[in-house]
Formats: sequence, C-alpha cells, structure tokens
Amino acid sequence: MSEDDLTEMIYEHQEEQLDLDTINKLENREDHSVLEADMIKGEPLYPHEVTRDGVFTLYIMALLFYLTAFVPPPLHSAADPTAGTAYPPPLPDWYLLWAFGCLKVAWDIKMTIPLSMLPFLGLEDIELFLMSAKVWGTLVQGLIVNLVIAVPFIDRAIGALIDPQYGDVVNRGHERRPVEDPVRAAIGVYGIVMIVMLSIFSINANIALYYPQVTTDILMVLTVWGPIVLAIMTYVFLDRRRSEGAKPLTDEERFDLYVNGITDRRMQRIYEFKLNRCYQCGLCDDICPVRDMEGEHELNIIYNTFQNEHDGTAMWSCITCGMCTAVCPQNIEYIDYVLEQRALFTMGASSDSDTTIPNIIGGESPKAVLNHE
Amino acid sequence: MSSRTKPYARTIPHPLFERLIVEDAMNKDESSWKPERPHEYGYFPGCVDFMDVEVKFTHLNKGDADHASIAAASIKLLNYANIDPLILDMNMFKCSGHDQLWQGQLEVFDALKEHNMRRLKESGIKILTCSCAECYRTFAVDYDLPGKLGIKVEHITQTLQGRGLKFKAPENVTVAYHDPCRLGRMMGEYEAPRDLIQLVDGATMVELENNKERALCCGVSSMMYCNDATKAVRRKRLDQGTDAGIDLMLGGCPKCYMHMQCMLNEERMNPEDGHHHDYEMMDLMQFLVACLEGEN
Ligand code: SF4
Ligand code: SF4
Repeated sequence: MSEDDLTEMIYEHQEEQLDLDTINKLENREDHSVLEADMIKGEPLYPHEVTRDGVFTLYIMALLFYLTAFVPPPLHSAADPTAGTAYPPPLPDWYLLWAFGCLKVAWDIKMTIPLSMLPFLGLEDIELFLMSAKVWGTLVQGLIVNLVIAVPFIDRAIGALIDPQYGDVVNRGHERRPVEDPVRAAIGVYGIVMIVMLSIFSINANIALYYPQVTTDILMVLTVWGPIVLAIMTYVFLDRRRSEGAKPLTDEERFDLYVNGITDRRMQRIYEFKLNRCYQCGLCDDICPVRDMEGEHELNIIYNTFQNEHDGTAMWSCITCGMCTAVCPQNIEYIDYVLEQRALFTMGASSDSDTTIPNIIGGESPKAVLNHE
Repeated sequence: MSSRTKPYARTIPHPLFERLIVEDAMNKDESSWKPERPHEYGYFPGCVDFMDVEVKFTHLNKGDADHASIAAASIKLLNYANIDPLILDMNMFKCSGHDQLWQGQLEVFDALKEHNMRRLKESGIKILTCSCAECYRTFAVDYDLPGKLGIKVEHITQTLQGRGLKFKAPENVTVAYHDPCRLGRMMGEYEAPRDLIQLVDGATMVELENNKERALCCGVSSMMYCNDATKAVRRKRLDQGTDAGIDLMLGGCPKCYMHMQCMLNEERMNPEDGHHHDYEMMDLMQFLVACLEGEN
C-alpha cells in the first residue's frame, strides 16, 4: 500500500468521524426552540368548548321535548310476558355491542379470590367472592369511559413529571402524527381493537349458530390477546419508522436526491421529517421577508425546501428571523431545520479552514489542531 | 493534506471579529477563577464591548454606533434598580456563540459553550441577565442554563421591569419599539420592553405597522450577510418608522441597533441616493439611561 493510499484512508476515516460527530451532536441537542411551547393552538376546553357543547345539547333536548309533545311516537301492541326466550338472544344496537361484550366477558371471568393464595389462613378450598359478573361488567364500562375522559389529564400529569418547565403544555400545541408518538398510537390501537373484539365477542351465540367451530374459548383468547399483539406490532412498526426518519441523509443519498429527486418513501420521510407536517398553506412564504425581497416567485424558500428543489442557496439566504414559524398553523420549526442543515453542511466546522489567520501566518488552523486531538 | 472540501458547501463570509472569536474559542483556557465576593445577579455584556473596543467594528464601517455604551448603560440601570451585578465580561468569558451556532459551526459553539458553562459555574450567580437578545436566547435555550446549572436567565428588560423605576425624557419624543426576533418570536417576550418605555415620562410610544409576532426582522442574519435582501428588509423596517412618524426607534438587541444604525449612516453618507430616514436608532438601554432623573 503506497503512502498516498494510506493518507487517503486516514483522510477518509477522519471525514467519516467528523460526520458522525456532527450527527451525534445534533441528535443530542435538546429542543432548541421554545416557540412551540408558547403557542397553543386551538380553543381551551373551558369556557369555549363547554359552552358550545352545552348550548348544542340543550338545543337537541329542546327539539326532543318538542317532538315528544307534538309528534308522539306510535305505540305498538303490548309485549307478551309469557313468550319463551329467544335464541339467539336479541342484541343491542351495534354501537353498544362493546358494552354488551363487557358484560359477557365478565360472565366468563370469575371475580373471586381463591384463598389458597393465602396459605397461612388454612382455608384452601374456599373462594372469596368479590362481586358478581353483573356488577363488575358494568363497572368496567364506566371505567373505560372514564379512562377516555381522563386521557388529557393523565397526559398532563406525565408531562409535568417528565418536564416540569413545560408540563402544562404536553402536546406543545399541535396534534402529532402516529409516527411521532408511537406509544400513544399503540395505546390507541389497543383501544380500538379491543372495542372491535368486545363487539365480536358479544355476539358469540350468533356466531356459534353459523360457525360452530368458532367457540367461545377461541373468541375469549382473541379478545384478550388480539389487542395486545396488535398494539405491540403498531409500536414496533412506528418506532422503526421514527428512528429511520430521524436519521439524516448520507452524502450519497443527498446527491441522489439532488439529481433524481425523491425516489422512495424512506427518503421522503427522512428528508422532510421535520417539515412533513406542512400542508402547504403558503402562509410562511407570504410572510418571509427574504422571499418578499429577493424572488417574486422563484425563491420560494420553504416550499422549495419541502420539495427538495433548493441547492443550498435558500438554506443560506434564510435570515432565521422566525416569522415563518410564527405564522405556521402547524408550528413547523423551520429555523431549527435550517440550523441543523447548516451544521450538517459545514459538518460543524467553521468554513475556510485554509485561509484562517494562523494558516496565513504559518501556524496551524484551529481545524487542524482539533483534528489532531 | 488539504482541508475538507464539500462540493455543495457554501462559504460563509467571515468578518474579522468572527475570525477572532473562532480563534478565541479554540484557545483552551484552563485557569480557574473565583469572584471576589458572591453576587446574586450576573450581567453578560456579550460581544458589544468586544466589537467596539477591540475591533472597532463601527469605525471600520465609518459608522457612529457606539456599542460599548450599551454595556455601560445597562450596568448603570442595574445599579439604579439597586442590583449589584457581577460583570461577566470578555476577560473571563467568551462570546456566547450565537452566530457560530446559527452559521452551523457547532464545533466552535461547543468550545465556547464549554468554557462559558465552566465559568458560570465558578461565578456562583443565581440570575444571569443579558442586554443582548441573542445572548439571552442562547443562554436560556441552547445552553439550557436553567436546566443544567439552575441559573435563571433574563433579558435586562425583564430584570428592570416592575422595580418601580422612574424615567423622564429630556424632551418630548415619539418612539417605537422594534422587536428583536430572538427576544420576541423566539422567547415570547413582548411586554417587558414596552412596559419600560411606558415608564418614561415624555415619551409617546407608537407601534410600527408590523409589531410583536409579526415584527419585521432587522436582517442581521447572524452576521452572515449584508446583501440586497437584508438591506431591503432593513429599509422596509425603517420606512415603517418614517410612516409612523417617530423620532427614535428603540431596539432590544445590539445587533438590531448595529444593523439599523449602519443603514441610517450609509444613507446619510450618500444623500444623492434619495433614501432618507429622519430619525435615529437607539438601543433601549441607551435611551433609558439618557432618561434617568438627575442626568438631564
Ligand atoms: S405555514 Fe407551515 S403549514 Fe403553511 S406552508 Fe408554511 S410550513 Fe407549511
Ligand atoms: S426564518 Fe428564514 S424562511 Fe422563515 S421567514 Fe425568516 S427568512 Fe424566511
């Protein structure tokens, strides 16, 4: 191996190291902007939403009272109390099947504590009765509804624990796409699948009528494990996508992107991870002073960045005034993106290493000093 | 061996003092330091004194903007508010690194940050106040001083706000406040400077056409450019001042002051261009110090 090759190798290694270092540093930076925390979009629950919902509810009630008073519903013939029980039993409306399912599941799970768990009592074969299926099946329904109501409060409590400074602004003012928040997405999937499975479970008698091989036991297993499995799958899938998307492009990919544009979805996700909340309303572009001054239609800074049509010029002509983020309904931190891209372009170093003062006067450039360390 | 060459990298113009800051950052200073007595407040003048005293930026530029007076005015005002700050000047500290960070020079920024963090720890202050909006943002967000060292970071207007200060303008003036982007949009502070201006007897405050969240930028762009676009941004901003009929435009950031004053100066030197703005740019601190009771 010639000396030149060796030099080349060392040089390449240093390059790589520098690149990795920059990426590492960027990734370890905390949220750099506080803009989002201070800008909460939307209306507060109280008094806005409460008033609106209250008025709407009263309006519907008034309508119902009016209808019952002036358009009485027809009465059919009286029910026959001596008639035999129908099989399969009558079902509630489809949207209440999950509640019915809760009751049915409760029927199959005994709420008792076998005292054999507490051997010191010496009452091995007695089971302590906690509550009847009717009671806990009903309780579970209430529990689910209350959980849904409590979500925002739980969210805030967790946020306050994690980050006391911004605890009361947990979602930082905007909804998130599932890929940005895999944990919550997985919980959501669990809930939805659970509701579907409970509904299916609730009609087990009807299913058994047509497909006798689908027994209640099978349905039970599906109802308990199906949602858990799907939630885990959701989490794993979204988390992979997230870590993929947070990675910056390599040099080759960047070059490819510039020459061929976006060629696959992964590239799109990565390159625009910070920007792809944008729905291209154009507000940022209207307000951007640089665009206003420089190019009527040509220098469409943010739009071009989003479309990967810039060659770095737009990136450097941004004066990081933050007006785009201030008007953006999606709170896209464009300046943060600019900051990161600039650091990646220069690889964190100050440019013009060769022409630094010490170099001119014969010393070593700070860059070289740093490299040797 | 040649230095890195990236085909797409763009050369960032380097004014002389930025070069010096980079050199300064890379010279590691390992000495330890202890202030003579404990202070609750620390005041960070930033690069303003550095720029004027060491590089004579404005003199190179044939301008008359006097940055060092911002630091002097700030200290005077802090004393007036019965605060005895520790002066965190360039003898012990280095530039906060704001411009380096925004130009993408993470290495330089990290070196500066490391040094300043160590010094801040040694200084033992509880509250850090800056007269520069950029330093304020950098210390609060990029250094994360409140989280890392438990030091509260304030802009000087926030420190002076609500301390029962009284000011009297030497003559009746109409002033407008120009929101710096780092203080306003980035840190969400719009009221503290305005409150201070309201305290000045004899000063009438008007709002420029774009204010608060929608304030136009002075175009300083982390000291990277002075090109057509940034000049146009500045001119637009200055025109808004003329439209509002003001006598003084007040800024909360030395960079705004420098950039605007430079433009005004250039216009004055070239009267044949026909661009003229009939008022002055001043930093809020300079203005307030001029309005101190007993001074006039
Ligand atoms: S304001 Fe936000 S959402 Fe609208 S185009 Fe700009 S970046 Fe996209
Ligand atoms: S931060 Fe940059 S892109 Fe956004 S409005 Fe300002 S100059 Fe335009």
